[in-house]
Amino acid sequence: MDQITITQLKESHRLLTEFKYAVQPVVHGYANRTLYINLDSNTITIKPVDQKMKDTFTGGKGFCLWLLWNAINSDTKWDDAQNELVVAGGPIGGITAYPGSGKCTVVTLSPLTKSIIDSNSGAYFGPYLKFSGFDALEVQGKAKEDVVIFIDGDNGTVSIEAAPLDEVNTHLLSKQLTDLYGGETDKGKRAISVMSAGQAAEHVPMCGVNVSYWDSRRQEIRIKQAARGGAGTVLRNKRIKAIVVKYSDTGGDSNGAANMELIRAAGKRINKEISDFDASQNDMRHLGTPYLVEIMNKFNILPVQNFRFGSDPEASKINGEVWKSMFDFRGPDGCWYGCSLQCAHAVPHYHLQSGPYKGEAVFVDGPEYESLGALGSNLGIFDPPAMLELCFYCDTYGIDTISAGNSMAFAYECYEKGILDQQKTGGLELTWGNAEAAYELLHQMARGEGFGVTVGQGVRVMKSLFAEQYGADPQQLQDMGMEIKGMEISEYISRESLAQQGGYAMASKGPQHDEAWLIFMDMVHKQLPTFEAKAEALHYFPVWRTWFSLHGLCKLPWNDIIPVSNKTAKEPAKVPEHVENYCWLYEGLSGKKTSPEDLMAQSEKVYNFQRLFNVKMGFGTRQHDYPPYRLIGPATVEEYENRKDLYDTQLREIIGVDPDGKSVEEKIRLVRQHRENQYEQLMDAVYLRRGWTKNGIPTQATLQRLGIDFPEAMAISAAHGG
Amino acid sequence: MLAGKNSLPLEMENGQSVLDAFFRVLEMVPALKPHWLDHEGQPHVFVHVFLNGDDAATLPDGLNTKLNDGDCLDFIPPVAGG
Repeated sequence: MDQITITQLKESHRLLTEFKYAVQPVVHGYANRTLYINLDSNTITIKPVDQKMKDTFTGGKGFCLWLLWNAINSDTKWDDAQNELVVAGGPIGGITAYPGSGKCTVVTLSPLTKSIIDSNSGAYFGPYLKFSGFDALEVQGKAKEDVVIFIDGDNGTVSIEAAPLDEVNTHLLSKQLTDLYGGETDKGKRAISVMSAGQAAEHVPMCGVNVSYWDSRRQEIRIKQAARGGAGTVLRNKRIKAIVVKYSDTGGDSNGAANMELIRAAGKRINKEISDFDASQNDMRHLGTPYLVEIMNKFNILPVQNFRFGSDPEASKINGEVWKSMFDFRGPDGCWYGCSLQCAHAVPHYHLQSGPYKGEAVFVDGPEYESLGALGSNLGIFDPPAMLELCFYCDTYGIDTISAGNSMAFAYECYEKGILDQQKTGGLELTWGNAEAAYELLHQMARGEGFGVTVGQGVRVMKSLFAEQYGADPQQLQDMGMEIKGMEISEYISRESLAQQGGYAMASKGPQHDEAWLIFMDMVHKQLPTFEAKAEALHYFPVWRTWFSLHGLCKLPWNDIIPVSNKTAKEPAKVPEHVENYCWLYEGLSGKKTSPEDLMAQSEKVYNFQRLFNVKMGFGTRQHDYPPYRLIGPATVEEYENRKDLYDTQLREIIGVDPDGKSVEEKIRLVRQHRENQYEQLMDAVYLRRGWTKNGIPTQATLQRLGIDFPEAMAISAAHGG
Repeated sequence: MLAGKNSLPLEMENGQSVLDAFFRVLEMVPALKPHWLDHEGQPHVFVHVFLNGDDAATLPDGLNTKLNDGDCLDFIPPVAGG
């Protein structure tokens, strides 16, 4: 097929509406306005941001949640026109003096969990949106035809354009729109960020959004993902092909900081540390997150064959050193200006082996650790080219690699157990290590046909289908289906870390590690020996990690580089020197004296508000905070036998039962009884520490303490026994 | 990865400790010194040593724990996860 020219593309765009506004400078990190777009009526308006909104919700994810709260009802469904896609950067986001400051967060009602989802991405969208004049963007309604939304911060216009000929898949669409709106120069292209999904988002609920930026050194479009929970599916359900933001004038003080010196001091300190120590620590600048593969494998935490096992001798074939030899180091790898951590690596000139672009040489962003776990070890695939193939197609089709990998792994295990066969899979042989079958499942998701569409519905839907249609044992499916709240679990085996089990299962959005990653603290460094210590960690870390998404910041510079001062720190896991950096950033931005407690207070409000929002939507109670048993303990004989010595020792020394002479099934039952009981006790301890009822509801006293005690919130809490 | 090697055998004398082994490794692979030692010549805060899978810092005698024949040591950077 002949590729459409930019001239033809431009001529094909038909203006549906245009809105003009005066671009105002950002003051102390805020544009003080949000942008509202309704696709039913093609109306565009601006909403003010008042001081109360800033004091209560801070920005970023907090603003997104508040705007969505006011836009939908408790009975709104994800595919109702009333549902919104809400996007925001954050007050600190967009600074260039501190690494990892270009994030944006996407919030919506999820087609996967049916409740509130937030997911964040790097690249330039968040800062450009704010510099164009908006702290957040709400899109409501559904277009009658495929559209592109264009926010032009250079000229103060927002337009909705019919876009009939634009591509849908990200690697082509991002290029088209960067050329169309950015022109031919590097400066013009650098001013563009495109948010898009892909073909699969029209057919399956597990699609995220891709966010682009122009890499002028390599002359390539680069993409990062807000992959989790289905925001891309919502995007396409609204018939949006892309949202484009343009801003050309980014500078060191585009945020209107009150005290740039303080911000620069924080930046100087962290940048020196990264320069001095990254190569001695995780070498993020050369390995990126794939360095984790080898370490997770070493500690039995790497998911192998649908989370049954925690290590595999072949894991070294996809570890960090392998990717280091393949990554393109022709230019910097920061996904926002000024990021010295430089972890956003990519592989150039990969020749596709399958699908609609077979034979073409493409530029593949990543792979990241999570994708290697989900699409690699978890499927028994340890082949670097296969990783690139799967990552490329997941990205361009808009599919979340974690949900796709876990869903395919679930199907592969069902195939192994005889629940599925080739007749049911449309001829696909779902055997461990079969990469071609995985390719085809992705292509089917994109085409909207075949067994891939079933897999693309996610693990929760497959569990119901396979029980109802194929007579599979629902309990067996529940134990081995690696999802919580309807979302697939990210790529860490938590069986030997009770705290991480809670970190996953009690996370508001669903089991994503960005809310609490406690495995090493708990299992390896043994810093959380009691329920109280675990509960404290499950209070502090989820709240603290939430703070990054309030501000448009990346978490990695917080604890993927460790300062020398940690040697004498009282609580090294919190990385106090870096928390002080963040105090300096906020103080430098706002001009207000800022303590670590102030930062925590910002987060705790939003964290509890999100929980309450889940309750409003019919979720967010204790019954929704349980993991599948395989996350807690060995669910099958083969899993027990794989670590028999460990479990036998635990039976003898912790549970007080002599394993000798007992069948494996009996030992599994005894271990399960003990571990499930431990998990119940953990829930009680965590809820108590968070100021929630035993049913997981934030109490009215908690809401009052946090200043989120407005009438509707109090009524929801009261109605659920809070 | 130890300066290009994934593992190396260590011959230690009776009664020597985890810390002795740490410095023995540095004698064998001097390229690691700038990565593992601080300016006072002591182990950097971010180098974690594991003895047979256990964080040596969590053992009763910490880095002074005595080694036995066949023990396995791992040297791991600070791991923070996603």
